[in-house]
Amino acid sequence: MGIAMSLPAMIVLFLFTLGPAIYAFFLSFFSWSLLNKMQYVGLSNFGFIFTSPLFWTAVFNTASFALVVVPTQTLVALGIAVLLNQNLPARGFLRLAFFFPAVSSSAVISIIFMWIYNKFGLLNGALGVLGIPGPNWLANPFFALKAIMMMNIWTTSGYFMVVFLAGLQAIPQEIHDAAWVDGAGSWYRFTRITVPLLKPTTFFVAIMGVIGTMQMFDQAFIISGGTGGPLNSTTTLVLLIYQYIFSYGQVGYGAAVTVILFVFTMAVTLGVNKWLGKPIEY
Amino acid sequence: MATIELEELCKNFSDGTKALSNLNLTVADGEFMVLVGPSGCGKTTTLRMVAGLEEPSGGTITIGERVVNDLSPRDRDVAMVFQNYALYPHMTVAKNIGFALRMRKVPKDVIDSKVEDAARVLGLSAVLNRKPGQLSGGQRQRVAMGRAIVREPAVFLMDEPLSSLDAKLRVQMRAEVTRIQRHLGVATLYVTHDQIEAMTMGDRVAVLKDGILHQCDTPDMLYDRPANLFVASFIGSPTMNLYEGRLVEGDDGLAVALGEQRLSVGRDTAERRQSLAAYRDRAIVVGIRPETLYGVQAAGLGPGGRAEEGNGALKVKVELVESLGSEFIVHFRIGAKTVEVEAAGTDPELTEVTVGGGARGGHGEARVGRDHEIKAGDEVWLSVDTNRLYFFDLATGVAIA
Amino acid sequence: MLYLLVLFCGALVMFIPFAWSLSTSLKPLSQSLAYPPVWIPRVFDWSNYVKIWQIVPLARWFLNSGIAATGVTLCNLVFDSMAGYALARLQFRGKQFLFIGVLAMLMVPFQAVMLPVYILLRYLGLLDNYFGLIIPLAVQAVGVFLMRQAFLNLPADLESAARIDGAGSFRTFWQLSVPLVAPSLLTLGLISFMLSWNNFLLPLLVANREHLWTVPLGIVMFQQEYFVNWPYLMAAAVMTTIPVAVIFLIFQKWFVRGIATTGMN
Ligand SMILES: Nc1ncnc2c1ncn2[C@@H]1O[C@H](COP(=O)(O)OP(=O)(O)OP(=O)(O)O)[C@@H](O)[C@H]1O
Ligand SMILES: [Mg+2]
Repeated sequence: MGIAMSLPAMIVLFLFTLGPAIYAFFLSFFSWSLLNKMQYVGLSNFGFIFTSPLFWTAVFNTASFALVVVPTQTLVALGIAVLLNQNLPARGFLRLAFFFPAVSSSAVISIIFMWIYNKFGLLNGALGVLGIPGPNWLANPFFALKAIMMMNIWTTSGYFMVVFLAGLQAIPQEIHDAAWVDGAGSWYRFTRITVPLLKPTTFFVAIMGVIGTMQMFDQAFIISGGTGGPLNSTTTLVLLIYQYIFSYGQVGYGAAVTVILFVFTMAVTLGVNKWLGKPIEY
Repeated sequence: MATIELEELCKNFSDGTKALSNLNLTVADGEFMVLVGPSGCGKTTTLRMVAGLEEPSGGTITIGERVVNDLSPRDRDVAMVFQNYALYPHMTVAKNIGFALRMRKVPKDVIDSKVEDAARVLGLSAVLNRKPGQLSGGQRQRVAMGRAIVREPAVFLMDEPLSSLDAKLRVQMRAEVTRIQRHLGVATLYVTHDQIEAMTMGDRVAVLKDGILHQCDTPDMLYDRPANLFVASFIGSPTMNLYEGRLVEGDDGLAVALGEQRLSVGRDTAERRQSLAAYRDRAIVVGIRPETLYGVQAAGLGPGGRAEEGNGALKVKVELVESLGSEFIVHFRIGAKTVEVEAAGTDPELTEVTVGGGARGGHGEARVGRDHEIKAGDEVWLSVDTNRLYFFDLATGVAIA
Repeated sequence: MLYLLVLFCGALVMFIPFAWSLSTSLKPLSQSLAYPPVWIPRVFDWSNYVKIWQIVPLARWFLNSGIAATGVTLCNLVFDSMAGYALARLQFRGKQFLFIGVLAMLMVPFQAVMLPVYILLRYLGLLDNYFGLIIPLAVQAVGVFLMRQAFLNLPADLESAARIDGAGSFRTFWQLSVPLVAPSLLTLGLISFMLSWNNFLLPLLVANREHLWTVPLGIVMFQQEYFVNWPYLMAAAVMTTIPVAVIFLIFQKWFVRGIATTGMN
């Protein structure tokens, strides 16, 4: 009975999650274009990848994306959550406003931002008012990835804010009160009470952020029209995988990158369990 | 060291709840003042206003010589023990106790020695490096106390600090908290809904109900001279038996008619309560504490109903006998109307009173020694100490002085 | 007060892109390119909203999105809750093993395994049909986990009582337990619906032919063709966002709950 009830779910999950990961290991030892016959090539796909400048560009782009976006969105989310957790009017409305981008479609948001980042778009218009000449954001290799970073922070902060709010609400009000009576002003209450008690939540948010940013695809694909341009400045690892199949017909290379990405993601995931091992008891 | 003075203190919450109305209360320096009352009567609200965690809707709060209404909690020099202790879960016991001192930038070695002293007083020395999650309930309670005493504050505020302990530990901690408070001599406002805690710990006890102060007095006075029906029924366990009676002229002085029976009023009582005479031939509420119904005599045996001076008897039907080990609680039924004290209105003078029947009509309890032979179904005479009767105005519920 | 000011500025930043897309969608092409940008169009030009339906098969895309999202939602509701129930309440061999498997799959994002999944879909003949848009998302590890938690939180005595009264285990599951976890089902439904409705990568892989495109994919493809006509694009963007916004406003409580329960377990 138990097996029967869980079987459909387990089959689908295995077929589209763990199974593919194993399959990717297998594929990474072959040269294949989807159309020709598979050919065993040993580790040479990995050899190619590790010497390919494009791969390292993608690693660099993905890593810098994660390194900028994760801390920023975590801090922004924490800040907004702490402010929203006060007894303020219009709390519900504000929470909605911050959260809404997180439930909108990445495709729609990317397109809206392409228009905002346009050389004659809203952002440059606003900068113009301040007397700053804005660049052509998405056509400039120096700015394109940064523009996507800003957009991503804008999108995901609200989501993590809700996670932080849940974490904040788990802290009994009495603990804040006790600290206040004990002589802690609002800054000390934040740094000595709130922040330490939110540590598990913060780890969770950071890890989810890392996993999410490592997989960044939609925005880079849409904004660069699938090319990773300008000058590969927006090529991320997942976009590179996509290109290896659909542009270069090199399934083996793509599989090799998939394996690397998967192993890294799993490592981060296992790290979570270790860090999050002990939740705080009140 | 300081006094606490509350003048006309009010609190109305934004949702319209009137949590506290015009509270006037003074806690003298070093005094242990207990705030007692049923759930939701505004005890926590009062305490939080004194701490500065809640803003009063009206009135002034004075600590020492300072009006503190506009001061933030951190500037009021009060220490508070919370109901669930509110220990900082991420800090060790030592860090918890020393937190307030660190916030006040006290030098580290001073903090260490004070924390150690407090831990010694509270018997926490062995657990100083543990986190609150690794402590027993009693230990947590002590840490919460330690956090308060290490600060040497002007006043202590404690919100039901013993309520989450098991019964045995509660009794033990009751004595301990009293001992520490006496030792430090700091004015203390202590909240509880447990009247036994209130009576055993307080120098004075303030009885609160629905945001209204009904009486503030020493435990003895509350017991002997309750100001109204509410206080009378709240203090004492089991609760006071209250019946509708009629004050009449008996053979030798005043008497009360309880249904068919008559009970003469002790001469002492009649002399002490001068205004009682004015109620002659009027309906009143008579209160008889279960512990003043002391003796039992089988109904068939003697002329128990005949009143002697300071001693009367009531004929009752026993319904249930509970043994407490040392004595019996006798539940009985008597041919008189029970008076139930309902939730009061907003007028402190008026405790709403329901007289009447229902299943509990005529019900009562007595506390008698174990040497009596008594069982359910018996008809017996209960001896009454008629100098310890209580009288209340039937309309207003106020005690007849 | 200062807090409130900061928050309102933040909320404004969140709001501006949507407001701007609405504003642009109401302008004729010539006006939309005015620089510096103009916030309120001189005249409201609703024609973009009409024309876009004629230029591209937007209706078809909405239909596709609707079919895919409904399919994904129903599958998740059924399969996730069945598996969640089995893991929470039933005893069977290998249960612990399966649960650890679900945990392991909890954090494997779809993007990471895009390549092998594509090859698999191709092999199974699921490209260019609705099944390809539904089956890969038909079960979510998060959903199984969420439902397991929900069933675990039901008092066990309740089911024992039903068993004693003679109900079989599937009957107990279906008639007693499922109705009791309705709030969690709603949360799961919302998560699944949004996952599919907003998905870009899966349709990109599966739907090669235009008549199978979903709204997000269609709009992006349309953008790559007509990238200069921003008012059209913004009109399409607004229309795609509206259903999401409506669902979000109605069910916001459950979204938040979903994050609170799946986010911090
Ligand atoms: N923040 C609030 N908003 C609205 N009403 C409140 C608030 N806090 C308390 N109240 C109401 O004020 C009244 C007094 O509450 P308070 O917490 O002071 O009671 P209490 O005497 O401490 O009761 P207990 O013994 O149950 O702790 C109650 O009716 C309560 O519902
Ligand atoms: Mg209280």
